[in-house]
Amino acid sequence: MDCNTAQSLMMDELYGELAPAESADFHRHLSGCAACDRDFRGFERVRSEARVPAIEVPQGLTDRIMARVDATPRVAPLRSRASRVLSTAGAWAMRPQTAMAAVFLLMVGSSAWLLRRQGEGHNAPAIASERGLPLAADAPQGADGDGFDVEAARGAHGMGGERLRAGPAATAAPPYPQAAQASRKSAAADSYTFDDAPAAPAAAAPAEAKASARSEVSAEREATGGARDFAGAMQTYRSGAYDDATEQFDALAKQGDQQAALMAARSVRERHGCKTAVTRFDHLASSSLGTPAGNDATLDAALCYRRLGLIESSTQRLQRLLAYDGYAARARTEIETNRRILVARREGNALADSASSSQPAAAAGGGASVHASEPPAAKPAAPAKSKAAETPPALR
Amino acid sequence: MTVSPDEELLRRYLGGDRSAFAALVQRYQGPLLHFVLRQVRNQATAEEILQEAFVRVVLGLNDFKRESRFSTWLYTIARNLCTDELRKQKHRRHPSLDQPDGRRGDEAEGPSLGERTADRQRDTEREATQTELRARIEKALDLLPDEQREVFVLREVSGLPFKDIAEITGVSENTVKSRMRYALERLQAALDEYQSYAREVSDA
Repeated sequence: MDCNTAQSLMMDELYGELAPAESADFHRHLSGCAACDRDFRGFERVRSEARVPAIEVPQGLTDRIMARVDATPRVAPLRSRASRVLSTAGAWAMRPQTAMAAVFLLMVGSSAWLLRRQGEGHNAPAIASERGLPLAADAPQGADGDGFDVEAARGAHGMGGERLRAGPAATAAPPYPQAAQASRKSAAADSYTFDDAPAAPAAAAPAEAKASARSEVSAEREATGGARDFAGAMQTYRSGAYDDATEQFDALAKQGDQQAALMAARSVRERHGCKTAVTRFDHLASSSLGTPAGNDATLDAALCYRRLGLIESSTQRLQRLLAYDGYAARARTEIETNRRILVARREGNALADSASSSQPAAAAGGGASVHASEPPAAKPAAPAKSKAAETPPALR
Repeated sequence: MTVSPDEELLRRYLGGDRSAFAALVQRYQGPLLHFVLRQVRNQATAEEILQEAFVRVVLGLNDFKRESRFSTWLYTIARNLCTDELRKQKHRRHPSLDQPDGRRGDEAEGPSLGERTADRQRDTEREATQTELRARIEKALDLLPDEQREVFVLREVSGLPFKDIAEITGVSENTVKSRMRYALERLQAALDEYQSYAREVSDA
């Protein structure tokens, strides 16, 4: 071992983080190097002599903390867990032909099923979960509920409804924002356009539940005394009053609470859909780069882009998360899902194109780049932001 | 009697066992309070932050399924709350110029950290030396740049590995280690200075 290496490992060894073999090498170096040895012994001395003075824990702190904890509303986690399992299962099941058939069936059966679901509360599986239904009074889905959703499926098959129905597609590779609008207009009866945040489901939801949730909020505030702002805002969020929740979280975010900023963005997503919310997620991701709130926002942004059919933008954001231990595995899973969506999309395009036999199939082969189907115009302000966002955290 | 890992306590709490969460609080409140207090330098604020941190744990429990450890999550929440609080303080008031240590304005409430850790009146001479040393260490810690002090406290007081500290503070492990090193070097300098001073005094 040379001095450079020994110096770079000094802190690790000092705090016992070196493996035995490396540690032995390190000490072997010390025995032959006076300078490194002096440095190391000096640090050992500081540690033992400059003991950090202890701080006494005040009497009753645990009780006071538990009092606050007891007053905090908790929700059963069942739905999140079920959603997660089914999301993963859904993603794995999503091979092109079966996915196409499944989506078609889902679309056909969706309306009746959804109307039935409104009264069911917590039992709905994620595959057909409608994020546009605000009265799901359960844990915030965060970035987890969207592992597999219908928007992604539609994206995989070239904007869904159009391709599956009879007739040739109007264009070979439509710019996505326009295509999204076109399909939205013509598929007015299609209940999966939940990015429009239709007022209907919201209005149809029982007003009772909302009212009782509201009174819970004020009772909560009285019970704990004073403003438990964040907890109050969370309660508002769970009650489904997303506009109010956005307001409350924004107020907290203005005072610098990044977690509140994230929840504000999620409230916007629940109320107005991904198209509106994604800007907020992107902004938070770049302004809080490298922090958990920023990383959560990056993940939420990625999932929103996927839902909007902008797979490359989604993958771009996921790739930033690969550098963070707590997010890497999740990012890898989602990147893989994106890849599958693009594959299915290409094959769906090829099928539809060959049916219409009007234009050359778009990269039907396996050798095509996965980016072929996404035109540059579909990246909303991504280039500038991604540059800034890719600045290494160490520069902060 | 075996000690339950954090994840098991959380599981039991989710199953309705309130005492499991209390055990978790007991486990972390000491080092967490220390960490927070070193940043916000005010007992009341620190306690408020601690309470809020655990509340947010409860609120976020259903969504907590990442690969990070519970302790990492908890410290990250607390750290964010400290950052928010310090930013708030910076906006609310200008640094007090009439205070001897003009960096923070919150010392008016309650005894300073140095005073809290020692009772000077009953000291013997030897104890006086110890007290003096402790006060010097406190001072040196206080004078560290925030990011160095933060790493130092997380490593020395909370005992968190560098990898976790990197996650909590949002920088690379190498950055964490170099900050740690700088912090130790500064403390070393303060220690050396004190010891030469102590020698002078005893020689006199």
